[in-house]
Amino acid sequence: GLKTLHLGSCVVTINLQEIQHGFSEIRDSVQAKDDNINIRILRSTESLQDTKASEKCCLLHHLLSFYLNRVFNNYQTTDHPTLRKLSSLANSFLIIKKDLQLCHAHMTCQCEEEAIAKYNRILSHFEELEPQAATVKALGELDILLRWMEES
Amino acid sequence: MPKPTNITFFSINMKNVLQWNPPEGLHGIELTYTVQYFIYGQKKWLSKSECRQINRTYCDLSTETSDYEHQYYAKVKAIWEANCSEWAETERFYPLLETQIGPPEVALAASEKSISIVLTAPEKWKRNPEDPTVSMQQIYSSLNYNISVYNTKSKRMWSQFVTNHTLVLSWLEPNTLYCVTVESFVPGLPGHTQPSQQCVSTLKDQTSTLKVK
Amino acid sequence: DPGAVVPAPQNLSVHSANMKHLLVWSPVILPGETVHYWVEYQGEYESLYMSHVWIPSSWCSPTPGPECDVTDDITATVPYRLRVRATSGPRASAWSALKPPFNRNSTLLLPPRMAVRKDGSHLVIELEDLGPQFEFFVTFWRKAPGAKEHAKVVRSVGFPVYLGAMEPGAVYCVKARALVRAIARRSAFSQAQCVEVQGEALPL
Repeated sequence: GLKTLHLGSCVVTINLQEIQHGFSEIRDSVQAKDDNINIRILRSTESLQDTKASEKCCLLHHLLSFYLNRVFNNYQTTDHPTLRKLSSLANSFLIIKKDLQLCHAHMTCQCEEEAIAKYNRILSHFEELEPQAATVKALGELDILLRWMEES
Repeated sequence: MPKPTNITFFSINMKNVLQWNPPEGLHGIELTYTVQYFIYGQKKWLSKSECRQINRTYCDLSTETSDYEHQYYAKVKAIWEANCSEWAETERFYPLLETQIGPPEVALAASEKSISIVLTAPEKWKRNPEDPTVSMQQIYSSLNYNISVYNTKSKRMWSQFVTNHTLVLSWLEPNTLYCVTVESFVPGLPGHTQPSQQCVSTLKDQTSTLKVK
Repeated sequence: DPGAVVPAPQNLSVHSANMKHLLVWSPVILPGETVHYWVEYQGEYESLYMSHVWIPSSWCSPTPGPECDVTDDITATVPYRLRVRATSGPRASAWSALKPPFNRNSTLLLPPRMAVRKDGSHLVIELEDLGPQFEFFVTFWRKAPGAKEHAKVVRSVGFPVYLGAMEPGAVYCVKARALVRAIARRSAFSQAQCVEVQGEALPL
């Protein structure tokens, strides 16, 4: 069913199970293309874990924009089933982003320094890698992001 | 020398056992195997001394993969005399998403027309019996149970999803054998393991016994 | 005539009920030739971020008939642009686009089919399997003045689900409606179905 995310005073309902199911169908094939297993972009200890509820909205908003602007549209595949799953994930992320934008408009998704610092750390790990390798790794780590959302 | 095949983690309640098949075409040859594992995002492959040059085709890596928020790889190579194969490597293993949830413990108590069911959530694997117990419910807050009840007399079955751990089935038929099957279920996780099944008979209807007298 | 232009399919529309979506169009008639159709789609994300990218439909790239089940392609609650073209051998028509784009939240939700029965003193319901998006809001009550209505959300389908225990000699009725949270909508209630329990009514 649906999952309600409590992100400080911003509350959104998402179809997390449908998203998780969609990703589980391409997870192994995407992760198999990641040769840099000694690098992890979404790091629990450094950025995701111990994020205050009030920071989560801003961090998630930035992460969704990151995936929409730099990952889904840069992942190269000729495999149509994978393309369809990516489209499904991207359009689901788009819906969540719109919901967070409403929170932002109602001043319930404010960005503080700590959240921006965490996001920048994630970005710096992403930019350590060559673009296509970084895209593959970021997409392969969606299970980490979805788990973090599930705990919110 | 060919690599071992079908290398995967078999995981129930976070007991994570690496298993594989011998390399093809080498049946009957006395092979040994060596295993290594890797924590995704860390720097190097690590060895497990108890799984160096072993004869069996499995290695319990539960201790090494006990932090279920991390993700892991494992690999194994076959050794025969002076020869050794390439490494055969698993896909990225995420215990949190890939472990199967075992069935709960089920206690049944019957009266004439009812059966009370008490469930105890399955426990997470622990290294030592004295270690504190962690219930899988603590890890998966959305853990619930699918209870199926089969009336052996009417040959009819019905089911019910419950989240709490006690349930009373009322208005049953006296002196009837009921079989209760219980499966653990977490939305979004892989299939569940073998359900637990127990049967119990409701007591004879005391009022009819009195009439007979 | 190998040089003739293949006309583009016309009259595109989507028939959608219970989250099953069928794109249909008027067939292209080319006497003596075999016509196939190719369907592609874009979700809102593709329209906004990758407008040059069109994704081949799961089941209709190509398809012989003038219809396409796009249920497996429409997997988010956003507007989807769909387009179709006809081909005959190497020749292809222009693309025809569905207007306006389709959003699955417009699907027609019908009351669910159900089977209500009793197993001894137990009220049991079996609901039709409409797919993973569906849950069912089930209400049941004892047919008696002032009787209280009980409610339950049922997610299991395709096998009997326990609703409650019934008292001997009473009549119990059940009705259900479909819920699809992904589009935040629900169907009308089904017709009520009632069952009677044998045995003498309990003294009040």
